[in-house]
Amino acid sequence: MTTNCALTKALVLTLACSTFFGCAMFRESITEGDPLSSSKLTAKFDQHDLYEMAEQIMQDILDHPFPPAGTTPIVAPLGIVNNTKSHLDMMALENTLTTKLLNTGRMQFINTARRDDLLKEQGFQIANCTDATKVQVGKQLGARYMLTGSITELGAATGKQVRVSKKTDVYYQLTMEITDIETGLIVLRKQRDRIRRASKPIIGW
Amino acid sequence: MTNDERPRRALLCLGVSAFVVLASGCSTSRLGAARENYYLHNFDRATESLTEIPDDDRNQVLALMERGMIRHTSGDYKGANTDWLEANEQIGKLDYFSVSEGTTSLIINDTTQTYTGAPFERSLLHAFTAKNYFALAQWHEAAVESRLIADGLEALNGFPDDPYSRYVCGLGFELIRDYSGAALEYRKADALAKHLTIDAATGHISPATTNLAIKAKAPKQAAELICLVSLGRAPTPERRPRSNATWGNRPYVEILHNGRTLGRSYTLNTTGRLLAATQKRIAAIKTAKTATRIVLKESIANAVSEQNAFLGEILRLILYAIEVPDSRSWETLPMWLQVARVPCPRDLETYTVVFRNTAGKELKREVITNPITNRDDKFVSFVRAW
Repeated sequence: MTTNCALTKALVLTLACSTFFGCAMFRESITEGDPLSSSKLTAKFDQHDLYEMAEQIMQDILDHPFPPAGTTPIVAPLGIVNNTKSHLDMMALENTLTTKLLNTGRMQFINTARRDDLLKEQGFQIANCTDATKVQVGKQLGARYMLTGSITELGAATGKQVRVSKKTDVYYQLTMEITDIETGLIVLRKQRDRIRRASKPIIGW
Repeated sequence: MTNDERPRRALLCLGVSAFVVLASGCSTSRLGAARENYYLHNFDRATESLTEIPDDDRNQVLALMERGMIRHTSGDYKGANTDWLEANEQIGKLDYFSVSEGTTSLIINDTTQTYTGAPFERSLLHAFTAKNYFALAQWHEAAVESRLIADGLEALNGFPDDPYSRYVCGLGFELIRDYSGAALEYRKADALAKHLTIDAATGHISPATTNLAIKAKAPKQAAELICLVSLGRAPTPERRPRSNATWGNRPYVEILHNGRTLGRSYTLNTTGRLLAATQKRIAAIKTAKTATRIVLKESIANAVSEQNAFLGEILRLILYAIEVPDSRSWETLPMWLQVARVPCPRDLETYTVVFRNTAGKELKREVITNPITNRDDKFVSFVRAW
């Protein structure tokens, strides 16, 4: 009787395991994905945002009358400042954006390696430059314009109350601008905003 | 199942649970070995003890915190930040109540729950990560940590606030020239550190009982050295543990340059104070939980005793043997968290620190050349002594 009972339990358990988990979970799997169509895992800035925001802001820049027709100005990329609560790869964002803009053939960009060498010679890092230093470096690199920007984050989470999940709203704002180094005038400024809500259970197994 | 089998089965289940508890002791012993080697100045061996930290280890966050501190003290600031950023990521992932762990802890003990650090440890985790970024002159990355400190300290839910973390947070903002953000945090640090006056506009620190705050205020254009001082629970060069008793209640350091005294440090907080306030906050919850657990254990043991008195007693013995308090904490954090903010030459490359106990007796003298980084006319450095 006891043996039968144990056997039945084992059978039910095996059946439940195979039904709920399947055997796929025991196999290693690798899938290719498109960064623009990948799903968001958290409310934080991720590769999806990086590509999408770079794409959108590039389109905004291209829609602007700058640069005047028939000219391909030399632009020095002088960093995007991270004002968020995450350690983001700002270099990746800058590289993605400059690559896209360069491929349109409407602008020329100073090689970032050359820029970094010059900064190093002068004892600076791109992330720590003041606006005055950026202008000075831009001039020394022979650029007429400089491309700078910043990304800002604001977050809000649900307060302490009776609930089963915690909702978080994260708002990002990417601002990019192109400044005329000689005149100090901003010739182009574009902003892109995005808000994302993430919900996370506060009780788990 | 027969009546005779039930107690045996209960005993077996408990045996398995006890095994689980004992097996988890592996990571505890590795942590112990790492700490021991750390205090003995054997940084390589200390890191080796924590080379592999399994993802499912209940003490993973604690091990990362400790390994980060070992690397930080040995001067491996990048390595330390790798560990501390991972610890922080894990804390974020574990930000939920686990039903399975909660139930297990109700029967066995609180150490069966995954460690995610006390709130003050989490803010100090960000503060120490920011210190590493200061040493690497990565000011904007340090400011990210400042934002995380500010966020964390806004949702304390009755746990203690920390003027030291607030000050480091303000410093992070000041170094990216966000002076309004810095002033806000300095003001909050000032309100928390009743024995000190922290000037919101300049971050200058002085005792609250005198008027020196106004007299000794650094001239606006002068260069400044901000030295973050950590005292206690540090490795000793002579490779043997040293008692903290030599420090007294209020130790401090003097900063010297070319034989000239530039100023001294002030204690913004102590980890002892933070721990005591944290324990006070959770005392009621812990007491209620322990009482519930004892009732449960008694009920289980009585139920088995009714079937078999001998097994019931054995079971009771096991149940009480595994009743151990959860004393896990980030042990390598310093005892005293101090800041010295003093005027200094614009070409500062080295300075001397004189460690003094409460009575002013010199305990140690050290020449500091690294880490010293600067932005504008603000030099940032940190020291640590046993």
